[in-house]
Amino acid sequence: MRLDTQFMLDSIPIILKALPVTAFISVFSMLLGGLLGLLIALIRYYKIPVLDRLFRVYVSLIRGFPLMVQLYLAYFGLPFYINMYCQSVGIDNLAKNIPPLAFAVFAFSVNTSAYVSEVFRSALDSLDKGQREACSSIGMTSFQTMAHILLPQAMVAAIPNLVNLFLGNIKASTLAYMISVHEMMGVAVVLANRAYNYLEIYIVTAVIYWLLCVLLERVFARMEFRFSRYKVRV
Amino acid sequence: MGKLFSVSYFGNVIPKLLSALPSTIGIVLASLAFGLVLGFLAAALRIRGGPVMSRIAAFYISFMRGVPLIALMLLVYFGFPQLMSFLGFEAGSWPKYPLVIASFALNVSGYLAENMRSAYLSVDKSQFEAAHSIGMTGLQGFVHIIFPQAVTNALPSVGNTVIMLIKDTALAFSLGVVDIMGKAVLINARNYGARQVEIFVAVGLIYWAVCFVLERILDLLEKRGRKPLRLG
Repeated sequence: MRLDTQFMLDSIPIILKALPVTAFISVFSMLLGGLLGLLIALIRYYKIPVLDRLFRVYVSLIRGFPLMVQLYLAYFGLPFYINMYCQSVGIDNLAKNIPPLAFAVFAFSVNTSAYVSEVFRSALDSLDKGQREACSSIGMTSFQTMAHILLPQAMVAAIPNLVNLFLGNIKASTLAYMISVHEMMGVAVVLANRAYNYLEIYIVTAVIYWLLCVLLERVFARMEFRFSRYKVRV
Repeated sequence: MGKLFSVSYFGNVIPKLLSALPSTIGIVLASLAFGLVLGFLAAALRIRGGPVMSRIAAFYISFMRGVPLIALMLLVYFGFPQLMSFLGFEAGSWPKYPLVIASFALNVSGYLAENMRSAYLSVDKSQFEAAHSIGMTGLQGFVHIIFPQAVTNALPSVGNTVIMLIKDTALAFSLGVVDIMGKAVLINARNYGARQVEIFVAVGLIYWAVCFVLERILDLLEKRGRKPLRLG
């Protein structure tokens, strides 16, 4: 079997040059999605009327829609509505200036928020009810209780799942190439099409992503160990 | 510019999409069947394959889980024919469906292997010893005692993996397969950019409905499964 190994080696730095784009998409959608997800989790934890119902439907729909569909909805749908709005107020179409990357980050953030909200909700639910009572018995407000007692514990419980979501985001960011974002996958596809060396390029790409995931898994496992040290002491 | 959301178009497009539902279900079932076999083999080797095979199985599982699905699909779809021609098997074109199904099966087998492994490990060791003490052989103990309990344990996580697989098959369109997502993309291309939101909301809702029904079925099975499964 003849694999063009020189071509494989040459393609590694070219693909890795797009690593910042992949990282940008995964990190930003994790941050934005994480914040939105935390907010949704709190709304649902306190069972705020109407909003609780609304976000229940939101979470169910987002988790039931394939990510690719969400990406297309953001990429095709948002410009459509932005353009409609611009026409109605009589200004130039703003959507033309928005790069595909922004739609990708938007779609991945929305997607992540639904999963993160479930992670935080189950983490909060797993805490003993007695803690809330204890806090109110010493006169803490419900905000203080959440900020100082419940949330720190929920965070620790949530970390392994959040790490999995983040690793999932890195792999999911490959879909962005379908809306012409040049992250690592997009660069790989361009390279492969140019030279017809599909097998070589896709082996290299697969290995790069796999190594990235394994490496990050190791790093995060270390962090988890540190974060959960407090449990051992008790 | 027209309406925000055309309900009548939305209503029209749903039956057209549903006509491709058998294709989606076929891909899911075939990938799941092969994925379960591969996953079972990988899990079995991982648990008791000896030092070498267990390492290889661990690598296989980690690789299938660590590689993005789209990269795996492209690798299989473009790589397999190239590999075959290297080996001297020339074919004008390799059929699309088997390659797509193979890539989904490989991907899902990594997740299923982990589901099965943790389900197996969560069965208490004393169960094996008890089976042994009443004179069962290792195989009998596995088939009659361990396996039924492991299946019950595995149900929730395997269910999640299947739901993930269903949504992942939406990527098959990128290789030209006409499942429901492929149909949506075709309709969208024919429309020259009109009513895109309706089309993709419709296709999303179909996936959502399929997953919703499956989740309900799994919930029922789980409740029943509290009583360990009886084989024969």
